Amino acid sequence: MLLSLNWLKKYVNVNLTGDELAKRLTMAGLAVDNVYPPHKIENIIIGKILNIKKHEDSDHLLICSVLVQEALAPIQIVTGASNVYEGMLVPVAMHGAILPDGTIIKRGKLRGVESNGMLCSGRELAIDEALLYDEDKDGIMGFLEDAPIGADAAKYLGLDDTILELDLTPNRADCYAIINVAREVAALLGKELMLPTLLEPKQVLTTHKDLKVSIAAPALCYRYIGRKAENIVIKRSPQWLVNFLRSAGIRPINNIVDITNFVLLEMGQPLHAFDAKLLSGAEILVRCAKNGEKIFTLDEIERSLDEEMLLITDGSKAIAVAGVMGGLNSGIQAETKEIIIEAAIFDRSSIRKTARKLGLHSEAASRYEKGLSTVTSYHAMNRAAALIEELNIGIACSWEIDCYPQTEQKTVVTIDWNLANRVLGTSFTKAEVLHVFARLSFTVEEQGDILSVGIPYYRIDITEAIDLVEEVARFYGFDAIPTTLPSGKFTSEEEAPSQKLEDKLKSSLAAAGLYEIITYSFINEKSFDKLQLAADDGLRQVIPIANPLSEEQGVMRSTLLPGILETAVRNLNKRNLNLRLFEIGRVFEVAAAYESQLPNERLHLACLLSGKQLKTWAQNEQEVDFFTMKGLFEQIFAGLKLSGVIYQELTDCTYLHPGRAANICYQGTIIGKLGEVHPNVVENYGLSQKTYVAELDLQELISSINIVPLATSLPRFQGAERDMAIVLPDYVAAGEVEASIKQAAGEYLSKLRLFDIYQGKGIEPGFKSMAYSLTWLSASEQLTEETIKEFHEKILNELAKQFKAKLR
Amino acid sequence: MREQLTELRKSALEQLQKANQLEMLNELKIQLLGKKGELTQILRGMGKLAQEERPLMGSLVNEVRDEIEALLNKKMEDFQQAQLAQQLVKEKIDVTLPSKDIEKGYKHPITIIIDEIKEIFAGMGFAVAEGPEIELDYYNFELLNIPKEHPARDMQDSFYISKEMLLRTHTSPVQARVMQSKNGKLPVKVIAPGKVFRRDDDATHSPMFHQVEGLLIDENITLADLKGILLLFAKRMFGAEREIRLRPSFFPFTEPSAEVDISCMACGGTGCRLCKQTGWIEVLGSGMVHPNVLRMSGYDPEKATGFAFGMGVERIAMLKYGIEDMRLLFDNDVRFLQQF
Repeated sequence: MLLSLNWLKKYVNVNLTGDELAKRLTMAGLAVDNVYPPHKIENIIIGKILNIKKHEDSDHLLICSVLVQEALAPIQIVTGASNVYEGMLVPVAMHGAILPDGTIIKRGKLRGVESNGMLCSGRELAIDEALLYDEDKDGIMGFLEDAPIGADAAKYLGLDDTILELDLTPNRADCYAIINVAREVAALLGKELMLPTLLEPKQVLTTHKDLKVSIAAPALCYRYIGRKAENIVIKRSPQWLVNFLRSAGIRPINNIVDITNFVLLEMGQPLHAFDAKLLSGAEILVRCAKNGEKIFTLDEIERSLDEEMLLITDGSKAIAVAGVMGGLNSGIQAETKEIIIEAAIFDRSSIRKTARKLGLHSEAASRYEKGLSTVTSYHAMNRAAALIEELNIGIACSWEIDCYPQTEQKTVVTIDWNLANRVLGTSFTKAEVLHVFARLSFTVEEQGDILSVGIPYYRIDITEAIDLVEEVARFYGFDAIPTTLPSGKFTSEEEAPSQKLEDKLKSSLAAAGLYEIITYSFINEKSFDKLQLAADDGLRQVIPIANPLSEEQGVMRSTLLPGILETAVRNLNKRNLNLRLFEIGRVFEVAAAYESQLPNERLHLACLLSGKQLKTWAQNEQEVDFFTMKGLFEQIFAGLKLSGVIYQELTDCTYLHPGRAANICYQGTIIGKLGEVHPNVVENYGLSQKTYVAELDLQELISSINIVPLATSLPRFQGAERDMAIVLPDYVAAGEVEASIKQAAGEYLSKLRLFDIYQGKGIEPGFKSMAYSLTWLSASEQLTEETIKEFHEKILNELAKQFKAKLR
Repeated sequence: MREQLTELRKSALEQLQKANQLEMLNELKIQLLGKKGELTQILRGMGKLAQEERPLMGSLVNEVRDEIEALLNKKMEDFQQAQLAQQLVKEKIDVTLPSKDIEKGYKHPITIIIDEIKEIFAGMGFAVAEGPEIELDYYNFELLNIPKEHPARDMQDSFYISKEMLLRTHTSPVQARVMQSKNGKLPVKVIAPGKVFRRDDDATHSPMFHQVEGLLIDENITLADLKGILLLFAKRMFGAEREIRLRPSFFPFTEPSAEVDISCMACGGTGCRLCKQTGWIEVLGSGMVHPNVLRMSGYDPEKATGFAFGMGVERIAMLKYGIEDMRLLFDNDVRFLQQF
């Protein structure tokens, strides 16, 4: 909200600069985001055009004779504006004048004719074009007839004002009314508050022959006050009022509309004025619209309504969308003589919905949405009536119609004043607490420590004791609260095991040379096509977002692969060709009743390797492959103290190379997959090189974080290392051979290392030679050569039996 | 015999002195001291000596042998030293050559910041909790005292899954979950890091970002305690010279509520571009847990009070590392990631 310092000073004598006031308000909870100081403007005065001549050498220049000081000779100024007329009062930039944009105006000649200054447009005086009268938009700005010739035009236009931009929190919506900011300032600075004049009606009626008001939707309209005013003369508003409206970003229109806007800004209450002659009867009826009912609003757009929208009607036709915008058929015209002013309170969420549906976010609607007391409307109506008479616009009727089905009760909050110190950790005295309430105009009845605090109607945010504690904290400022540490009570809390696992893995993967990435939890459903997933693949069971920002972020991820693959593509496109990435994050698994039951969130790990380490003087080129990835996982499992993880051939995973993929199995469950990305998928993603990925479900491993390794003492004997080379059919998987060796060998085989695989000369086609190094070790004895020989025999027999293997 | 010995000693020492190669020394060693060497030859003559002469001659022989051996060893040592020195010179490398690549890995800057925050609060006895990223409206709003008409509950600002379910818009629902699981027991002392989601996407907003929530509920917890904890945090996170400032604000689930500023780390509080000349930088929101929130999660506000705070991890990372565009954090360009 924009707050004019000049306007504020009408109600409270502020003797602070804009910046000082901004700081004070900010520290009291009314955050000031910006302070706009006045523009530097010099020597622009109000002048009157006495005479206009055409410039002989120009078809558009006019030579004006301008009176800039009574009793002095007029000066000659050449202008290019076409809207000037004799008798017009205008801003005149004199010789030496400085405009807001820094331009200095100098005396000079225009096509040979002397010009002693410049007539100014609104834009040249830094007035937003949207805030100008229509007739002032193209050309020189015109003033009212009573503008004082020779006076400072900048001051007359209120351009000497300082504007504060407030960023109000939703609880302090009352401060969208300048009078309530003034109350706050008066309380904080200890100053007196000067309230604006009100014109109370002599009679408050429920009905009258000249005006009948009824509410057919009392759940959405809590109060409706109607008051007539007569003998209206529509014209421009006085300059001070125009200035205040502009300071708040509101365009002046005519005196009646301006008054409704002025009161809206001053007291926070939206008002509406109808031309009484344009209503079909002396009647106002508030009801819900019918589906499809139509109305032209003041902005000349036809609106189609529905039955959730509240409508103001004159008994037969719609005359306004309640609280949002008036109708074109009943607005104030130049010739309006009699008006009905509306000061009503509507249901905030109803207004919010209507404004949203119609895309019509008017000042009125925004005030209603934030919430208002029904008491405000009474005062606001009296303020409008006072202004109509003060400004000699017309006569306000001495009676008004007040349709007020349920009178608002004054809020009284009970509080033990000690609560303030208990919550804040302060040691305020009772007097200090009472002082705050007094300054804020809260009434207090004391009963020992218990206070019954009466809350003024405009503070709708205060409903319970803690709200009063906040007032105390705010009033004295948070700087006045001491800084302490909580008294230490013993707790033995620890990190959630999933967090521990995550921490541990991230550290070990970073240490292993991988880069952690973080990608969005939502993905594009089309990723599944890129991964060639079958129509019934489980990963396609995703949770869609009802209102995504885009299709790319349409569904919650069921796998981390799309994110990591897309990251790889982005990097490859930037020529980052050696990629070692990982991500740990949650994937989402649809629950049975997914509309009401939370999905399962499972912690996953994804890794991606691609590219190579280039040849250097010291090392040959090293390309990553399947076994780099597998090694990485063995390292992970070793770090987690998990043994018994096995890798099984995986040939039917659509996004992995059918000959270069494996399932990762732990305790009989498949917990992950790893392999080379399928060539089709490489192409679908536009990956420019071979890429290896793995994804692991960490959920099954979370409990492993508690595994404590038990130490065993070291053997006293040295192990004996023996080699064994066997020849066997080449379809036999290494994993099977290894399992079979281990099984036949028994407990004394301490290490098994495959050091060579050979096919070619000397080996029959269709066969391969595998050379193993076996280390034999017993904790209790030195194994003899014969024993080891026996073991080898046993292994060979087993291999021969299972795979037709022969010793090479 | 004595003469023989004297002669041998003399010639041996001479020859040894002359020897200028390791092989010569080895040969001399055999020639002089070996089984068939000259000294042994002389010793063989001992038998011909008179009984009484033998000990005298024996010690003389030993003396000569020791002398030869000593010189021999010394010469050997010298040769070895010289040889080693030569070898070391030959083995010299250019230590400024590039190293053998050991792949270096990096944690994401967001993780690094979260780890730091966890460490700071773990040191103060806070547990680390977590909650679901897809959350029930009930936890995300209802239990946090956020009324139905609050703008945050609009489709406009939050990602919805269904009427009752949405992507959590803050980590605050973990507060309610933790309180419920504690079943009224005191103290409740946790932080909860995690991903949160809002419908915004530009240079300063990301539809997904990270927050860390903090909650401490016990008997006699005050706003003064909140100030203390946050001052400690600010100093550990941003440097010992940092100060904090609390500005009154509004959150539905805390009251009183405060925005917390820290003195600008770039200018120290005198005003600069980073702090927009104010000397202060906003880093988190906080407040005393609202009595309604306590009540709804099974705590009696007459007996327990507490505070809560929440901070944006991206914002802290951007401030701490001088990152100007939030999108860099989710682009995951390895050239960016390897800066941390």
